Amino acid sequence: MPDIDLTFLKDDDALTAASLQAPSTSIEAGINGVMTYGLREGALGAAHVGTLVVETGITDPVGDATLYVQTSTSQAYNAGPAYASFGADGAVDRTPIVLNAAGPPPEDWLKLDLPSVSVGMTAGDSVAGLLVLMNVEWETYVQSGAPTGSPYRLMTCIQIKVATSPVTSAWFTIDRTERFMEPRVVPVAAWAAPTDTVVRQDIPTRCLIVPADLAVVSPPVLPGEPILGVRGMVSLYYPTGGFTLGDIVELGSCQMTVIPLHAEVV
Amino acid sequence: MPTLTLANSYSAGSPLTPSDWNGNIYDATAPNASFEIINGHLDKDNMDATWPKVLPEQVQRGVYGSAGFSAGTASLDYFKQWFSGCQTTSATSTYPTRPMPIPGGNATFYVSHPVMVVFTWTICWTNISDNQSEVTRVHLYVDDTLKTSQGREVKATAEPGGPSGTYARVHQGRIKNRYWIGHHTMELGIGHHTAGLRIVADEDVPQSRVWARSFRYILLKKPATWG
Repeated sequence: MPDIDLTFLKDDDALTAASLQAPSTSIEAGINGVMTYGLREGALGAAHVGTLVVETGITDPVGDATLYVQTSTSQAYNAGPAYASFGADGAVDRTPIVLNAAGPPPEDWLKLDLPSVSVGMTAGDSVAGLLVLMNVEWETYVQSGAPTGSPYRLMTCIQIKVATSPVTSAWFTIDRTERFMEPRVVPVAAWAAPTDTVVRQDIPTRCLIVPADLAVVSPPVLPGEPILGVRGMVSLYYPTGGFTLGDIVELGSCQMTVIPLHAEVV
Repeated sequence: MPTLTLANSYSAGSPLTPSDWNGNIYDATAPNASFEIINGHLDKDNMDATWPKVLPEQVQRGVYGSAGFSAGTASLDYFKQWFSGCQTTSATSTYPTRPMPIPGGNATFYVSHPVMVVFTWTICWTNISDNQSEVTRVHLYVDDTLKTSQGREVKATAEPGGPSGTYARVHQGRIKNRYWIGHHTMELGIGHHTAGLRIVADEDVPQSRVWARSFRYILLKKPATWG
């Protein structure tokens, strides 16, 4: 019963050690055990509470550089990497490519390094999950010759890098983030320029990376294993036919956001 | 560890000194050892075991975060007269005509403390030009400032399908309408803010049309250690 309960001293009461100690002990216990009703409704304002954006080891993202990346650089791929299988992990995952810019440093375009964030509210960093938002703008067009009839799809996915076991700094695919999109090609090749037969499209992906994602990678790693990075990947999938020499896939403006969120998992 | 442990106790037979008494009432030099602890030093360790977490009703609304949105489904048409002098082959930031805010794709809101904001939006638009160099673009603006990485365009969606020389157009909207589900993350300070999508077209595009669109903002309190 940590409520503060005082017996007031009256005139003519003797000041004894016990009469002085009792109220002190009661107040001490009350301060060390504030009850739910000890805080009135709406008592906590911005000065009292923390943030849902976990700041553990993450510095202020000045210049859109740390927590999120914004860029509009485009890059073209001719006869690019081929998607081979679903759900594979590792450093080389079905020969995808990192969404990277044309200039150095490579592989830094849609890749965010994290200061070893353990996901899971009980893992120490109080991060319930990593909220990831990714946009990939792309188009495909025929460099020369007739349109091929769009025999391929662009695949995008989100990967995470895990700190140690089972493979040091390996990248794992979050399987449910795989997206496939067909080119949109106008069937009548009536334009003068080869790029006239297509329209640019966006592949948006929203994902919350939670501890369960670490348990299902192969081979599995322990929940709470520190995550060192998040990146976006692309590949090409050929249901039939193949990628003709004259086909070009061009990535346009791409964005990615990663926010470590503090939350209660219910 | 702000658990209060009073510095002094009183026992029979020991003289009560002023310093013993005062040390329990107020001593800012001895952390968590006097009633001075209530001057802003209480934290979760002072919560009773029956109070496992701060309840939503004990926190002021909008402290952790807030959100809002706008949306619209009416078709909006934009004609070439409104974009006089605009050549979309030029750099996006040098439009002679200011891009026009799209109703249902913009929001005005107030930020009471520094935040990280995540904008997300959905929009569909097209135009009826048959010239591939004449495009209709949609851009994100925040506080009247163009976000250069956040722009998308649609090229002509009509083809010269009529007899030669007639310029009759065949609309290819079923495969050339432009859909954009985008996002943008940034920090905002205290004050009123505006954000949203704006449209601009080449001056030779006869007509551009926006269909369904929505715009959302999610405000998250910025960590105190960030500048």
